Amino acid sequence: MHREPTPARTWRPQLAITVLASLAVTLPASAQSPVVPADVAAAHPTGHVHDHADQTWPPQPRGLRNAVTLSTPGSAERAAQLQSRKVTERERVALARPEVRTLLGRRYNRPDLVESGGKDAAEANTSRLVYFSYENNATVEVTLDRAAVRGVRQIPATDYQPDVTDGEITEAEGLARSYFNARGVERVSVLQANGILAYVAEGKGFYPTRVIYMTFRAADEAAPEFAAWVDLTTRRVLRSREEGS
Amino acid sequence: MISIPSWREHLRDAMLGLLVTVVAPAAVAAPVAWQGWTFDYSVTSNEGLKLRDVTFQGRTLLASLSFPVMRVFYDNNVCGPFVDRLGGTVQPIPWAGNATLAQREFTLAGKLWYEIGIRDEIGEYDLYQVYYLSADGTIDAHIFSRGLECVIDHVHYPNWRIDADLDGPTDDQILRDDGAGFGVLATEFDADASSAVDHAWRIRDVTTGLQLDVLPGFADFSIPDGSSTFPVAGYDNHTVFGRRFRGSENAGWTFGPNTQVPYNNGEDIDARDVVLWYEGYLPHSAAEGTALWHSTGVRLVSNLVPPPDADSDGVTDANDNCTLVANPAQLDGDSDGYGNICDADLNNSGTVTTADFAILRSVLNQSSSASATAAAADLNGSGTVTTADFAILRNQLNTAPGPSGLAP
Repeated sequence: MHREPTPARTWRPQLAITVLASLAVTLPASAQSPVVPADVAAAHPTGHVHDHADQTWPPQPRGLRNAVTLSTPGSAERAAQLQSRKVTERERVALARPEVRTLLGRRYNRPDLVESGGKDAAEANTSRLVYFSYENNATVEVTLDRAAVRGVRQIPATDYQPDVTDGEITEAEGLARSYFNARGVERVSVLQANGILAYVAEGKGFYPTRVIYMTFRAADEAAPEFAAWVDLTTRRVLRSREEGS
Repeated sequence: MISIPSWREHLRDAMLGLLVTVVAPAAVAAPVAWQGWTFDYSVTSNEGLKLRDVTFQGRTLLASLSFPVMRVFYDNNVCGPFVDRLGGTVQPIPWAGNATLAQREFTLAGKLWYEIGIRDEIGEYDLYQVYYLSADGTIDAHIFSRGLECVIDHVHYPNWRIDADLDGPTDDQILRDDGAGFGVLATEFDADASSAVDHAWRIRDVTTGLQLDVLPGFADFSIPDGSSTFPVAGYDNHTVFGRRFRGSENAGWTFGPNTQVPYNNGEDIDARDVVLWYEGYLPHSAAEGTALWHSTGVRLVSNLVPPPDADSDGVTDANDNCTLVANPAQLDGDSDGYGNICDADLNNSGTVTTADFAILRSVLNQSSSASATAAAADLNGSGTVTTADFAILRNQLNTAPGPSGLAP
């Protein structure tokens, strides 16, 4: 059955205050004062909560006038299709390399394509295909210069993992549903699933294997009811939880 | 393990690479030119929605402005932590015609804005990452969030990377308001945003004086319009990082959740190519539920003075055919350079007289499309010459038309 995860030691990101004030040089006050919001009391202690009654998501500024939509429906989808083709074609170049195939093994995910496009001339034309190899439990980064492989790098899973792909979420969802079904948790079968890359709380945060945190909820705005940590490396559910239990 | 390809492998790659040439760049980009701004943009899974090559009034402000990561931590680590990298699974935006990239212009409290944003769903989170650019030189970079990955209190830490290139990449400084003025931070630093008076930070070009103030983002769902404000103290948990630009440090977020902005090597950043990272603080109480929205952001304000627009109709005086009367449509029925709303001089004598009154009366109740005279006499642009136009003419009796930025 479900069991609660072992509470980890409380960890808070350290807000480092390494202000090198001793090295600072004070200049005369500028002629132009910065613009800051008025310092008034907020109704909510965090102040970030929005009164969105009668509003739609995503947010729209209250009281806007003369809105003229300039979006081009479908443009992003077309760009995504082009990006997908580009990944496929770059992959063909990468997978022609024996060392890439060796580092990937037989089981690996669909890679992410990261293009530098920066102002540094040396990096201007480079891109990286970033894979995760389940067989070797490692991230594999293939650097391309235009369309030629410039280098291949294996990064331990504990040091870095790329974001999850839609295909991985689908596989993890299937494993999680089977897991809950085998334990008689019928409720999960009528819930919708979402997935996100799981991290451990301590250290660098990356698991030594490929773990997806799956959640199940009734509707888009409903709270999750069940969660499962699914290890795609071993194709096992590591643990699960029922919210509120 | 690093493998260096041989020349044979390079040759083979080059041959395979010939198959890749037909594909367009990854960027969704189409350059934008709007109210003195020009910029390019892209949506990628390692930097979210990114503005690139941002200029205002012909001056370069930013090489890029991006959103590499939002780290998320839950109380007592019962859930998470997580790393949200936006741009990988963008979602339709209903009010933008279900486009996955929202772009629009709007007016709020008499001010003209350009909005560009993406919506992404990561796990249970529904996120809207957006930039609002104003016609007077402000960029509001903002993140809106809703949803609960776990029903537990948690905090989001969104990160913006501001690669400032004020009048080019060299000679830039990062300054902080220390109460006696703005002091230069000479080496790479990590600092609480609140270590500056009113959280006021600045990036400045030493040579030209061009600058960007880096300030707390807008308060509420409303872009500040005087009706809603937010306490500066609400930004006390934000953090600012100053870095020297290095191409090798521009590789997206590869550090997981437990690392704040790295790359602090103590390098000199005084009159250099600098990058300012801004980490926000966005708490979310589980008791608030899944649908409640939260947001935070950072505001960039240039010191470039926008061109004058005396009647605030969005048309600068130099291009406005009625500089003192708001007429965003710029209707000019007789094409004499004076907009109808300030041009009751229908016979073009140089002064509005009773003769013009007679001309207007001759086309009373006619559609403005009925004749050239009617088009000129429809002073308020209603589509028909009415008594309302008479009233406008009466107010202009014995005066010259205009003033106009397009006519002497």
